[in-house]
Amino acid sequence: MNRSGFPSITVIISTRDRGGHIVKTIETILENDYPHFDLIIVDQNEDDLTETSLKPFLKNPQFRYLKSHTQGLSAGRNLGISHTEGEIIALTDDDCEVTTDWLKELMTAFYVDRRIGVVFGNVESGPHDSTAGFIPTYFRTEPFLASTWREKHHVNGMSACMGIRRSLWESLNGFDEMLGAGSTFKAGEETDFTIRALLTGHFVYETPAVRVIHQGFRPWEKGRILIQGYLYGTGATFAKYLKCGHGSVISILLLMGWRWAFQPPAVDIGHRPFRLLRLKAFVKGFLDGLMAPVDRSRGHFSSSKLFRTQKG
Amino acid sequence: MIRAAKSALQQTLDAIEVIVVIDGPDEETLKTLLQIEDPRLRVVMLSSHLGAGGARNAGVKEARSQWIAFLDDDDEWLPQKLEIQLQAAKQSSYPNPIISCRFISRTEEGDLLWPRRYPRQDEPLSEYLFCQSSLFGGEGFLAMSSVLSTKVLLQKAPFREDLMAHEDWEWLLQGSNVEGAGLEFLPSRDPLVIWNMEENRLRISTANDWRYSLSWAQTNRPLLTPRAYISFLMVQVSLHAARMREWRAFWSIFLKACQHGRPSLIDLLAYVLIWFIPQPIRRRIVILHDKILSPRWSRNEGR
Repeated sequence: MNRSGFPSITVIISTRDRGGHIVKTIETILENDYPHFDLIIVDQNEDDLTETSLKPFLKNPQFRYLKSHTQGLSAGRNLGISHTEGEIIALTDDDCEVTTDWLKELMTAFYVDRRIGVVFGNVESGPHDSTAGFIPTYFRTEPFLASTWREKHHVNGMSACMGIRRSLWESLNGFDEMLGAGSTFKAGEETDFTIRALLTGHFVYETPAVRVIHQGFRPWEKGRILIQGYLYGTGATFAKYLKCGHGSVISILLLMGWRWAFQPPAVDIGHRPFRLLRLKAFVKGFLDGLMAPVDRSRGHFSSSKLFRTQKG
Repeated sequence: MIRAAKSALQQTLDAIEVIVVIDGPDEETLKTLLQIEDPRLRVVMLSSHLGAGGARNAGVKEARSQWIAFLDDDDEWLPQKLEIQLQAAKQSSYPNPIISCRFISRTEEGDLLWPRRYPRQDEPLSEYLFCQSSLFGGEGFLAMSSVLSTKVLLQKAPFREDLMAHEDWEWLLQGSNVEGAGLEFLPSRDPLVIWNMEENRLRISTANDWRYSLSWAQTNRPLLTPRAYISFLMVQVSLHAARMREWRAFWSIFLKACQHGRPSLIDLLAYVLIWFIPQPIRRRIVILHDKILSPRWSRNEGR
């Protein structure tokens, strides 16, 4: 590469129950003209629908396919990342399409400050029928650089459009596999990663220049379940910090409490606050989190098989 | 210096030439620059010190390409700076555009994103640069390191070489008046340049006297609207005077400004703040303000 010095980027997508629809995601990623990237698909499906639809890509040297029997988004991502050497890890979901400058913009964002460990971008919604349902999105108009954990409430990006410095992923022992879609605590893996990054002195940058288009349509009645899962995971995350001795994060909780009581929610679905639902899910997650064993040295929940089957 | 040169060579736009102008003989800098092995890099060492304007003109003369961007030695470009600006320049409605972008103003106290706003339709450039509508500064600020323009324009309207300071403002005001030229900003709100103000601040305070700024404004009255002239005195000139704690200037600058009209309320308030609150504290307050009031993110609003 003659434009020497640009960091290598690895894109990781962990997929489950999406069949052949992931092909569109892969195509938009491979259209990126960033000179130094590769793409890894971690296939967590039991059937081979996805595998068959990916056959045409196998010849591409930038493309790698991993079949995995792990469960949960975080476990899939950790597995994918551990198989690569990219200095920057780009994450998106199997139901997103990325822009052609996605990787360039992501790389540029890391140049804003050497201490940036995590970058979040905008998640915009694809065309959909908004009377029938919604697509989860994340949107900001101005970039924001969070430099301490006290600024956590300013950064709430989604892992559907996320970049991580590999060295940070290593020092945080990866994503907590008990958090995130398909895991015991259902959600909260990006919140947890963000907070732990800030606690270890890394910066978190959010910028509208990095964008993906989300196609993950959900009917309105699924909104409650999404919120429930999200707050259940958040509750568990905070219980974990208490068990790990990070009592200071309680102030983040206070700010969240303020938002819960007086402001529109972070995940705003149909402009309905669902206040009681949120509180119940959070408390339940918090209590379950307190009960769950924690590996303090790694800063993770201990993912013992026994516990996982109990909670099912 | 090396950091700046590397950030210019490490651009996503590949087909560029990078010309480093060393302003006056400096063997040591020359030696370090020659260690960078890149055929796109050329170094020009001037035989005598010419100042920022002269050095930039020398670089323009050396340039082979049609488009020219400037980078001061304390500053850095983000990797996509030239690619994004060049694309905008080619689509510009002016044959000789001056393309600018937002930049990070970086000091020990923290980062600020400038300019805070882009020019309003039909707003005179001098008012955009110098008149503020809030007390938080950095509204219409332009750093030379964020500017890209054409060789044609830079030859028609070169930098003044006999100025100790403000040659960049004078060039912007003169250059944007040239037929077929005009200032344009990138639509994106994201910064593409890092302006390391700490280092700039030192340089400015040693080279720049408030009396010099005042006489610059007086000679360039035709380039400034009356409002811009008053604001320039109240803010820019008083910044230098307050930094040097020249209390004698407190009334004289104010009275000079009042000779040409009534300063706005914002100007008056800014004047008091500049004189009575030390710069690092002002900066901290602005950073805090920006962080707290930064536009909120939103999830799920159907975008």
